[in-house]
Amino acid sequence: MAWRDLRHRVRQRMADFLELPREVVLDLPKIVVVGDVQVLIENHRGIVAYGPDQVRVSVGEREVTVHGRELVLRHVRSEELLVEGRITGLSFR
Amino acid sequence: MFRLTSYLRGFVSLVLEGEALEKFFNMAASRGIPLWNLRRLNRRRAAVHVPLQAVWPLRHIARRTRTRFRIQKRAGLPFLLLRLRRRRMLAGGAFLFVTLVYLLSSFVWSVEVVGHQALDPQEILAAAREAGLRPGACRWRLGAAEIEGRIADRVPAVAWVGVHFKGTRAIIEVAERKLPAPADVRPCHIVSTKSGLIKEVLVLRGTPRVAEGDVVEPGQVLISGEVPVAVPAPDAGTERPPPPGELRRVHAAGLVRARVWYKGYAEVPLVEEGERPSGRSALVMGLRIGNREFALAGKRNPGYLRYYEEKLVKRLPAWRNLGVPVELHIIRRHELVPWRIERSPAEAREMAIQKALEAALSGVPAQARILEQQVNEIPAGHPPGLVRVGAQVETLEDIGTEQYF
Repeated sequence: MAWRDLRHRVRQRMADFLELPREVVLDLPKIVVVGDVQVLIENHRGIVAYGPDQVRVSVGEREVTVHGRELVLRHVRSEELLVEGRITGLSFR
Repeated sequence: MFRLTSYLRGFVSLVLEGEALEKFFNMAASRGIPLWNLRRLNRRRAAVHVPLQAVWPLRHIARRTRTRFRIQKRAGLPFLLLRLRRRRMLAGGAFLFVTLVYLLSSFVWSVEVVGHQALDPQEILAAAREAGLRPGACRWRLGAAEIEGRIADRVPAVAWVGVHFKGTRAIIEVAERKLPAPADVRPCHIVSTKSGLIKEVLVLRGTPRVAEGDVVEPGQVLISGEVPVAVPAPDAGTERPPPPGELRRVHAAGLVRARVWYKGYAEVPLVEEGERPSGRSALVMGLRIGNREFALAGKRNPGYLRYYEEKLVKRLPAWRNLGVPVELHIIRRHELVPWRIERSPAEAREMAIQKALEAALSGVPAQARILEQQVNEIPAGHPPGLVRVGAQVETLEDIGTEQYF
């Protein structure tokens, strides 16, 4: 684990030094929330569970959950996911 | 953009049923199949839109994820074409319609001439017809420049021609050349238009019939257009002189100046009364349906002592003899207030003189030279409180005018 932490820190340093976007270097998801109507998740790893009140999306080591009502997946692509509906929350686990 | 391409390539709406639908979505996405409008219907079912060409590969994914799907709706151009192929007559009719409209719009249906003034449009149309521009001609065979040239050649009175097409209408725009009016050579007399005292006579052509100092009446011949035929000189030859009294008719011309008198009269009362609008007005709007009237807006009685009405009636345009028996009445009532003016005799006299002179001068033509102006007060007659003034203006002017035989 220590080795992995070190690699992580080095990468973050390099990203800061080269002024590169972190999500590119660190392989993080980029999440754009538009009001309470739309959530765009880029760089995801797949849908874990989908229901009208909750969408769980795997993003690498972690998982993002979009909470809301009448949730619709407007687009499902391998690299991005667009969730629409009445968003009430967004959480990481 | 995405919507347009998906419409052009066709898409279907699928209803999926299975225990692990998320697996199906992830697999489809990772194979590069775009899914959109994904809705959860219940725990086991979901609806999704996919491109038409992705349906076949999705079957494999469905089998591997133990999902069943059923096509619920088809949309897009491929399905439209398929339907059209089944309904050949409809497609043929649509094609025929478009072709027919195109064909019919490639003919000239009417030719119009604009901008002409003295010219007869028929003449221009005839020239255009000769150049090939007539109702029924094919538009693609007509060159505007060529037609313009032909019309300009044929009709010399035209200074410029422009031909352009507006749909199936050909419009010939012309600008006329200002041709000098041909000299008037029709035989005529110069006659008097007014009565007056002849001051000078200058004959350019014709025989003078009046001399300085004559008094003439309107319509009297001043310069006659009848000229005795010149008698050749006796030594000119053996030709017999024409019998006396033989006359030739010419276009008489000349200048006859005369003194002409104009009279004017005016009276101004010392006390004058009347009514004039106060500037205040009220608007009443009403609707008339059949024989009944309804007030729409405004007060029926504006509370003016005296007023005059301006009435505007609006009705719907009648078609043939079917009119709509509904009228909108807009009445504007203007208030009138009385006024009264009292003048001193001197003021009234000044005003009467002014008015009398104006009345006398109103008949004087612009070219006349005014020689003298006179005013005299006429003693007040029966209605007292009235100033009466007569004016006399004397001018020197050309009183002749042409009168054809």
